[in-house]
Amino acid sequence: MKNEFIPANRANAERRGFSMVIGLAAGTILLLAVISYVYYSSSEMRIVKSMLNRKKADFAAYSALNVASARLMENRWYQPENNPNVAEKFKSSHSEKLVDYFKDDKSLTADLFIDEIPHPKAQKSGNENTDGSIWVKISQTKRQYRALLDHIRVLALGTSGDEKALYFGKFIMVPEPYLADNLTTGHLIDDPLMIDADEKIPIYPDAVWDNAGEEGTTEKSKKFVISVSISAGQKVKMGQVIMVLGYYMSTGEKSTREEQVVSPYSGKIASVEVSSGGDAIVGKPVAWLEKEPGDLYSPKTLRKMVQITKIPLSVFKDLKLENRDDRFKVYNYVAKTTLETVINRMPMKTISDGTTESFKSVKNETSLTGQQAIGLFNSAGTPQWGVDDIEKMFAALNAKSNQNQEPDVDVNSDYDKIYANAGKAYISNLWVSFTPPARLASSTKKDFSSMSSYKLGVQPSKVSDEMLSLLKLVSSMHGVDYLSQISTRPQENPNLYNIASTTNNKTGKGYWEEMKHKENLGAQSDNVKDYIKSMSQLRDGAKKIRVKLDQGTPWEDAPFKQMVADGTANPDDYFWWEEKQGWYKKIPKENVQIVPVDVPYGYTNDSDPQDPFKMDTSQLLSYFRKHYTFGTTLPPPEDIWAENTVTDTPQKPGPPDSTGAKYSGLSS
Amino acid sequence: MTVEKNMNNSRRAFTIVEMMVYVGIFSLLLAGVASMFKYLGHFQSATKRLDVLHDLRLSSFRLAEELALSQEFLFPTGDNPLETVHQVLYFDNKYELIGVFIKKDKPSDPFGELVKLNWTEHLKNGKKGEPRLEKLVGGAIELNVNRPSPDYIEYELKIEEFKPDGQPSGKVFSLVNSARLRGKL
Repeated sequence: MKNEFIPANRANAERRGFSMVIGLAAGTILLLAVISYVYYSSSEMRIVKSMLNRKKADFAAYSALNVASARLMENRWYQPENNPNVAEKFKSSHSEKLVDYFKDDKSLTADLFIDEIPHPKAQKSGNENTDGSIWVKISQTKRQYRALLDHIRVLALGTSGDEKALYFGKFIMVPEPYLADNLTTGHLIDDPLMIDADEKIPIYPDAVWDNAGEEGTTEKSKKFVISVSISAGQKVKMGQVIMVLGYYMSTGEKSTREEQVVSPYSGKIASVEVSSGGDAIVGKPVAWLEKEPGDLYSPKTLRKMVQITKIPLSVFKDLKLENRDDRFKVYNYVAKTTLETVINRMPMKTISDGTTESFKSVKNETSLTGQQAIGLFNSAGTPQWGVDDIEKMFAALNAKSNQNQEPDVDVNSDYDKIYANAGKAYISNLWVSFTPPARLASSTKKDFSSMSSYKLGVQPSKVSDEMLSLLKLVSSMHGVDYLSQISTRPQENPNLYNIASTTNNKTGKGYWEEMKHKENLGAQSDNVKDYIKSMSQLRDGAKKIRVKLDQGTPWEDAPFKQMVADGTANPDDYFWWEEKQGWYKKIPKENVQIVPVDVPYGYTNDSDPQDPFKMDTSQLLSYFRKHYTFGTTLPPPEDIWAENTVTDTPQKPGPPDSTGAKYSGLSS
Repeated sequence: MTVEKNMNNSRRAFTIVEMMVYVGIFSLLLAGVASMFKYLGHFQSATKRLDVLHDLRLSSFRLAEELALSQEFLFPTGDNPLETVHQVLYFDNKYELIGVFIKKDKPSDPFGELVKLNWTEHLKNGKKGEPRLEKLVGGAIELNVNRPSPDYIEYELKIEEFKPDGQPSGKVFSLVNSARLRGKL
């Protein structure tokens, strides 16, 4: 047998090779383990970091929205201060990086983008009266229409590392502020029966006309003051006699003709310009009436950030939010989401209580089977939507909004009707659970709505005895029962002066039941503004009465009898007014006006006696409406679109409306 | 020849010893590798556990965010702030009625799936077929929900860990989260 020689170094080399293989295998396995560990660890770190950044970006964006909300509660800080004597330019949008809030974290930033949206029917030129403008007196002799701000859109962008979060919020204000301003507080609220939206209303003496058939001529420029029954600061009701003026003859003698000056509206006397025994100059105010909220209303503005929506990254990742057109693309997304919310809300609310009740029955079950869950949901019934194609509906409503129309107000298509009815339901849902946007104790919050009441803008009042006797006389003169015509609904049902809240469990009847009655709602309309009006005002809540005695000079008994004897007066043309001890010329029917007035209700809540909440009910309902409306998704063409330029329209006194005597009053 | 023979003899003898050493070293290496494999097994299950935890965290993150941006919490009702229930019912941002609960095929099953049911979507589809159940996380054992205040909800979710072979490991993960309605600034 031939032994093969194996050199020692070769044997050693083979041995080394064998151990290298094992070493390599072991090393590879170890390396794989280390790589896997590092990979998983870094992957986990990446995930954790990404989640952390997402959370940080989310909080940064939400905080920025909070900052915007808090600042807007103060004012529109980005606008110049409104100075009536300086032509300021007001911006339609604003961008800002919030630099002071995240100083310690360089990777964290927050940006705010703001767009002001005017009332869809606002008139910038200031010459036309629209829903979106208000006629205000800016100085003693100048008035203008001022456009109103509908809402403010806020986009808050938070960035942390590579992660971004975007929140949308709509800041609403009711009553609406002026557009060309830096305030978020609304214009002053009208007193119940006020018509003008002015801050102070002048009260003028009637202009002087020569009375038909009067002896001699009447002094046209002045009257004498017989008595003044008011003083500055005094509250007055509409129709209340505030002073009595007498007429001069052109010879300078005082005639017996008197004129009762009545307050044209309810309010507070700001100043009295004449005194008893003095003269009143025709064309100059004898007193100024100050517009004030009165007992029923608060001068506060309801303000809130609503429609808070987190915008998905897919919507804004390719957009430059500094660019207004891009921001309006985001608003388009929000508008559609909001519409879906409004349309879903009504049918979903009809099954919410039932579904909640059915889930109460399984609250102790730690799990459900699929069929069990379906059964629980099914038990509440199946609501109806009435909208098959939400995309089509959105396209129709959006097109309308972009033409500065309001789909729930300018109702003409089926989609508008569906939207308006969904809007009404939205309003009533918010109404039932309303609490003012403030920090209330949870117990107060819970009981808030049940502690509310509604007070009619007029409380029991009747016309003066003098006017009542005059009405009796003209009733027999015209063969018309004017006395029954001045009767009002609250006089027949005194409960209407003050109504308990909608959730009065004891009586089962409250404001809601009273107002939704067809007598008050009248012909049903799809228009949400009509609905708000009907639900916040009492039809025929009061009657305005005016009787003009302008047919000739009244005569005392003796001279009148002499005139009859002389044949200069026909007694058939006159009537005897016992209380005034005079003969007055008969008046035509058109001189007696009895006009029914819709009277608004004031919403009152005294749950916090230190700070009772009061507001005009229609304003409250308008506030609810603003929760769901959206408005245009078309960007405005200009950066600066509102200026406080003044349209100079001299204020004129109202037309003269009586010569002999005028009696006005309010029956409520 | 002698040298060659001697050398062969000495190599054989040496080789036995050497082989013993080799065997020893190899055994040690094998033991090391085996322990490494064992460690890898642990590592695999640990990473798997991390994945489960990650799924759980993501689901909880999404759920908390959706709850925070929802319109209204329905269930728990909040009438009793201390009461714990096992389902969540709410209107999401679009006023869609959503239910979140643990779904089991049989109540006696040790665990199920945490699912989200969009009832509005099902209604809009005309209740055709079965409603879509979105699985949030598997191995769900318990969902405990409280509503301490009308705008605030908190929940605890317990899930089972699974071995790579799909069998439960007996380990339970628990995660607590909460949401406050953000629509109410």
